[in-house]
Formats: sequence, C-alpha cells, structure tokens
Amino acid sequence: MSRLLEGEKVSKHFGGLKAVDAVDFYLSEGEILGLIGPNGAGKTTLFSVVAGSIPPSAGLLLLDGKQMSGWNAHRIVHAGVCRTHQIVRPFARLSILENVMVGAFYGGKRAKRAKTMRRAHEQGIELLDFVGLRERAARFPSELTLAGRKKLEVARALATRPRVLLLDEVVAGLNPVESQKMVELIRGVRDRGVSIIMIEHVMKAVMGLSDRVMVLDYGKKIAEGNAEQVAANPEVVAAYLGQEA
Amino acid sequence: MEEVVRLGISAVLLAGLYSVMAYGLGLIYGVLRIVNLAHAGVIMAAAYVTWLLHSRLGIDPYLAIPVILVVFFIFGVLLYKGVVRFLPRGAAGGVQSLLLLFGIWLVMRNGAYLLFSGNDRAIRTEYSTHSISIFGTSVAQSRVVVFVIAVLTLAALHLFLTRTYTGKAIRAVAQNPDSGTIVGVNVERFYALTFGIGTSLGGLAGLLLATIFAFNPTSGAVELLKSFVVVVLGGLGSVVGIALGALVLAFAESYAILILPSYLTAAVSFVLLVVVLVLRPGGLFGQRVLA
Amino acid sequence: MRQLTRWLPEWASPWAVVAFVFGFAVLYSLPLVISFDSYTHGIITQAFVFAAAAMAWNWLGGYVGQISFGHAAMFGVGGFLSARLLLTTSFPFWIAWIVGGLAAASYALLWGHPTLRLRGPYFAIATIGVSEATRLIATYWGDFTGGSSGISLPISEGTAKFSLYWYALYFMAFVVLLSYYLRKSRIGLGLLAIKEDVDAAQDVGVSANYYQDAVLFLSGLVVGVAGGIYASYFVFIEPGDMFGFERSISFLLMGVIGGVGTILGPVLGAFVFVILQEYLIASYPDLYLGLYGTLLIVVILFEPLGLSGLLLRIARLFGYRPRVLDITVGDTKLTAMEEPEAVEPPESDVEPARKEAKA
Repeated sequence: MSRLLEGEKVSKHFGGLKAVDAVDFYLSEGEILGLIGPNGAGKTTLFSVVAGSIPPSAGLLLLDGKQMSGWNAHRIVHAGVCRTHQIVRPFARLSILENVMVGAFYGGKRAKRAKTMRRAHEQGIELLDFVGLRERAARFPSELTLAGRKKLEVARALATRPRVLLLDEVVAGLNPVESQKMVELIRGVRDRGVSIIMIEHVMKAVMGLSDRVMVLDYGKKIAEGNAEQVAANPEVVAAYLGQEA
Repeated sequence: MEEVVRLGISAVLLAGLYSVMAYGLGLIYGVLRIVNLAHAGVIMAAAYVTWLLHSRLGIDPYLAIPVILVVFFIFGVLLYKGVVRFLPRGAAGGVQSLLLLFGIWLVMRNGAYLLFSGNDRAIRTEYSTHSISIFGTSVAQSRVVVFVIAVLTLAALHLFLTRTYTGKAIRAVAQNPDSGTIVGVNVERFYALTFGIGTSLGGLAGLLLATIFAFNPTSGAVELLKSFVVVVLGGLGSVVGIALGALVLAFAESYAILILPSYLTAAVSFVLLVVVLVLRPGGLFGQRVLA
Repeated sequence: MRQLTRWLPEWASPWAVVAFVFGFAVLYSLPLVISFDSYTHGIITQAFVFAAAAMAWNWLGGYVGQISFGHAAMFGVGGFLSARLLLTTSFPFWIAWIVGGLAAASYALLWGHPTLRLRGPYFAIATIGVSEATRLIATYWGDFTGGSSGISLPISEGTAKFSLYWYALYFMAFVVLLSYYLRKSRIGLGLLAIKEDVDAAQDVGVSANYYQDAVLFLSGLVVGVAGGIYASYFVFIEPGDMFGFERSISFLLMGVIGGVGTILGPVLGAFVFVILQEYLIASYPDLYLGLYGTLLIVVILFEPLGLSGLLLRIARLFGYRPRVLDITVGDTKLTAMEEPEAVEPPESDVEPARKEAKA
C-alpha cells in the first residue's frame, strides 16, 4: 500500500490557539482512516487545512509525494482531494441533481471533467443512484431529511472524482437504521477505489469502518493504531474521560 | 512641522466624529448582518433636522442632541418594524436588504431635495467662528466640542455594551453571529433595539457633522463609505477598535493633503478600504468583520 | 426542430433560438418598415444600449450575487475613451467601442479583483467608493474628459447616426446570447453555486475567484462598449452624466425592475426604464431619485423578481407551471415543477455543541 496523502508537522494557529499542532499523518491507497477526538480537538480544522479551505500555519501536505500545501481549495479538489461539511452545505436553490452536477463539471482533473450537460446528467444520476437519492434527483435539498442531505453531500463530493474523500461526521445525528445505511455507503465508496479519512463521533461506526484510527486532543496527535489499540490507550481514555467529567 | 502638528490635531478631532458614525453602521451590521445603506440618508436627514431646529426654533445644535437621539431612535425602530423585519437575512438575503435600504436612502435624498433644494446649508451660531489654541495651533472651537461629545458618546456606549445585560447580548452577537439565538432575549425586540440605537448614532453623527461642515441632500454618501472603512479597519468587537480605525482613517485623510491635490483626498478613504481588504481582510484591530 | 437541435450547442434550446431569430428580424426591419422620427429612433437605440448594460449588470448582481452601485465608472471610461479615439483617430466606430470596452473591463478588474475575493457586502460598498472616486478624477482631468463642460463628437445627424440603431441592435443581440450562455451552460451552474455558497463551491472545485473576475471583466466590457455607443449617439458627453451616481443606479434599477438573476428581465427593465425616464421624469425632473427609490422598495418588498416575477405570476394564473428541469435517464422520467420560493435551508439537526473551534 503506497502512501497517497501525507502530512508532515501540519499546524494551524489562530492567534495564540494551536488548533492543530504539528500533526503527522498519512493515508494509504484504499484505506479508511478514522479521525477521532474530543470536541475542539482540531479535527475539522485539520480537514479544512487539508482541503485548502484555510491555509496551514506550518507543515507540509503531500499528495502522491507532491507538495500541495498552500493551494486553494478548488485546486486541491482538482488534484483529487474533496471534503464534505460537518454541517451540510447544499446549494439550496439548485436541484439535488444540479448540486451533484456542479461537482461533475468542476471537480477532478480537467481531462476527466464532464464536458456536456448530458454527461454531467448521467454522472449525477449514477451517483444519486449509488447513494440512494435517484428518485429525488429533480427535487430540492430542502426537501430532504438530514440523512438525505448527508448523502447528497457525499454524492456531490464523489462527483468530483476524488482519490481522497474527507468525510466530516456523516454518521452523527442519524438514527440507527440510517447510520447502518451510511456505514454501508462508506464501504461502498471505498470499494469504488476512493481512500477515506473520516471524522466521526459515533464510535461504533468509526471503529467498525476504519482500518486505522488516529486520535487528536488539543490539536496534537495522541494516539494512532487499529481500533483495539486506540481504545486501550490510556491517554485516549483520559482525553475522553476528561471531556466527559 | 507646524503644518504636521496642525493636521495631526485636526485628524484626532475628526476621528471622534468618524467613530460615532461608524459605530452606528457597525452595530447594525454586527447584529443583523445588514449593511444599512440608509445610514447615509439618516446622517443627511439629521443634519437637516438640526438645521431646522436651529434656524426656525432657535434651538442650539448641542441642545438638540437629545431630540435627535430620540427622533432617530424611533425612526430606526420604525424602519426595522416596518420593512427590514420582512427581509431574509444572511448570505442570500444580503442582496435584498442592500437594495431595499438603498431605495430608502434615495427616497430620503429626494425628500430632502424637495424640502430644502439642492443648495448647501450650514449652521451658523454666534460661536461658530470661535477658535481655541491647542499646542500653539488655533483650532475651531466647534471641532473640539464635537470631539468631546463624540468621546462622551463612545464612553457611554462602552459602558452600555459592557455593563448592561442588553449591551452584553449585543456585543456577544456582534462578535459571534454564529451563536444564533440569544438566550433569554426576545430576538425581534432585540433587533429593533439594535437598529434603533444604530440609527440614533447615525443621527448624532449627522448633527455633529452639521455643526462643522456645510451639507446638501447628497451628503452622507461619503460618510457612509468612511463609516464602512472604519468598521473594516476596526472590526466589530469593541468601541476601542472602532476608535482606532477612525484614527487611522482620519490621519490618512489629513496627511494626504500634504501629498495629493485636494480633489483627490476624497479618494483616500476608498483606496484605504481596498488596501486594507487586500492586506488584512480581518481588519487591522480586533476580530474579523466577516467570517 | 430536431434537425435544429443537433446543430445547436447544448445550452441553447431550439425554441429560444427561434424566438431569438424572430425577435431579431423584427427589430432589424422595424426602421425600414416604419419611418421613425429621430426622437423615437433615439429612444429605441438608447433602450438597446441600456438593455445590454443592464444584462451585464445582472451577470454580477443576479448570476453571481455581487451588487454593483458603481457601473457608471465603466460606462464613463468606455464612453470617454471611445469618444477620444473617435475624435483623434480615424478608427471606425466599432474599434473605438471595443477599445473603450476593454479599457473599462481592465479598470473593473483593477479594483474588483481584490474586493470580489471577500464575501459579504464588501464589493457593493467598494463600488460606491469606486464610482465616486472615478467621477471626481474624471471631472478634474479636464484634458481628457473636457471637465465639467464635457466633449462633443464630430458626428452629424443623418445616415451615420441612423445606422447606429443597427449597431446597437447587434450589440444587444450579442449580449442576449452571452446572457443565455452564462446562465444555461455549465458556467451558469458554477455561478449559481458561487452565489449560493462560495466556500462550498470551491470545495467541489469551482474556482470562484476566477469566475467572479471573469464575470466582472465581461460585465465591464459590455458596459464600457455601451458607454461608447451612447457617446457616439448622443454626440455630447460630460463626466457628471457619464460617471454620475444616477447613471450607476439606472443600471441597477433596470436589473431590479426586470428581475435580478433572470436572463431577459433586464431587457424588459431597460425598456420600462427608458419609457419612464422619457415620459415621467422629463415632466417631473425633481422626483426621479425618489421614484427610483420607491420602485426599488416596492419591488424588493412585493416582488423580488421584478417584472419577470410578475409575468410569471400572471402566467401561473392561466395554469402555466414552469418546468425547472426534466431528467430522463433510462426509463425513468423525473420532472421538477416550479422552484420552491426562497428556500430556507432547514435547521441543522446537528447540535451546536458538536461544532469545533473554527476560524
């Protein structure tokens, strides 16, 4: 398994606050990496830095060994890294299909993007079929349940033909049945050849899905390993207990 | 050197006025996420009301302050309850509120034109021509009085925002609009109140302006722009930030006279705006104006 | 019809093309069939030019959602540069217009590039400053603009002036096509995404900065050319009129009256505006700002889509239901009828406590 995405000493400071503090991480081809940690640990900030939404304060980001830190969000999407948002952000006045078509038109390498409406339509429908929203393609995002909107977020991200997908709490807030479906969906995404980093609070989901788990606390990486190793790590337990207390 | 000192003093005095007019705009923007373009009309209208009170009823401009504050507070609340309330907020609604308040400004401008014609007006009191000496330079007395009133207003505002419950709530929302609902506050009343306070500050700024400068129905446009520059420079968080922003603008304008032809000094505030936006989108002081 | 479809680019629906060709033919032959007096001729030519400018304003204000209160700056730059070129060189009209337009577009980029990058109302406020600063500079730069006394072009009444009708028509027709393209092609979808949520758009690969700059450039270009044609037709121009605040508002108003964000609304808005201006404002010159303001307030409060929205309402009374999109894939046919009005995104179900420390 080659290293697809790699971060070296990635940091993000807001004034004096070290939201992400010199975090090293990597993601291998075809892997699912779980990213957990208490509230405010810097998980979403790390995502934002990797996706280019905000520039890193320090550190390197490498995709296929090529430097990409400091790139704009859209350029990173073109290179093949796409994120979803913890609080879903559909384009409210675009139909569900059109939401996905935006990704098909603008994501990924120039040569692979949809060039025609017809092509974008087809790709959009195929992805909506994949996430289970095909019947609603012509409706608007506001008509979807939270689970539906999260699926739309995933479909729109997938439309950009990512090699790495950053999923920010796509399971959280769903009921048990929906959660189970979402977990299957994420497996399906991986089976399409997309490598995944997922932030998740729902432990069952993240532990079950992840090949490897990384734990952040106060911006620092405090543990890494498979689910059992991480769950047994005293520092992790302390971090979560400290959180609860 | 003498010129430099003189300009410096006039800049500081001007900054007081700038802070008052900017705070009115910034407060409304911070809490409601609406740029009140009618602010320009309010400043202009207040100048005319002050002029009317003085020329018709013989009321001294400075004694008219309570009247102006109350009148424009009520105007602001009515404006909010009458129209602004119905507009969508946030990114999508921004366009609509911008256009609507712009329309209100145009109507106010036209109204002033019909009532008072397009000629310049100025308020002349028996002390208009008095001047006093600061650090050896002679300064118009009215400018000093305006400065003192502005500072007192800002101090009062600061106390209101830091000591009272409502004031704290306003500040909290202005600093963190994401906090969304305000616990224990009647949101609509709270918004109306904020709009009223912001508008009455605009009114006060108009009054102070009228005691120093001549004005006509188009007045207020430049002041609106300058207020916005100050808000961008100073952030929305604190009175101190706004005051610093106002100082920066006032100094830039005053000293620009030394190097630029006079007709170009009007462009200074705009150039400053663009430069600051490009270099420090978060504002020079305090927190970001916009997420 | 099917034959036609095959020849057309995807974004052009065959019916729209038929309507376009028909409309163009009618407007083209109008002065040949009916002989206008020079007053009517002038009004119609003016309406064509303003329609183009209003559509260009709408690309920014409606398609991308960045309101400009300062398009007069580009109108003036284009107008004065073309006028100077026509005075000092022997260029044909259209070259002078295009040069003027390009200069106006570059000028727009100069100040727009930094301000468009920021979200919120920065751009709108900046435009107020830009147009004010530009007007001042233009008024004092007498060598170029003639100062407050303006400049006159050496164009006589007669055939040359008469032919401007068709130039203006070609120009408007071209801008109509561009308006269609910018809305109906893949670019239109990207622009809508930017308007809805800049960040989310960038996160799916839309280069928001690039597209906003490009739209501003095109908008400046068209408004600059409009300024050039206007100058050529009215022969006399002065900075107070070309760069004036009222000029900026007029473009905005045409867009808003016609329907912000619609494709052809601004054309409608421009015609209504010109008629209003000629018949109402000429009689009550003291009231025009108030009238503009009142129109803005009424439209925003009661029909944010302006005349287009009104027409749509009337059409709905007669049972018309606009199709938002038709999707046929395999044997499934999905049709969305009517866009829901001003969709409010539902409250997020994710509890706020989950929000992490963000920027």
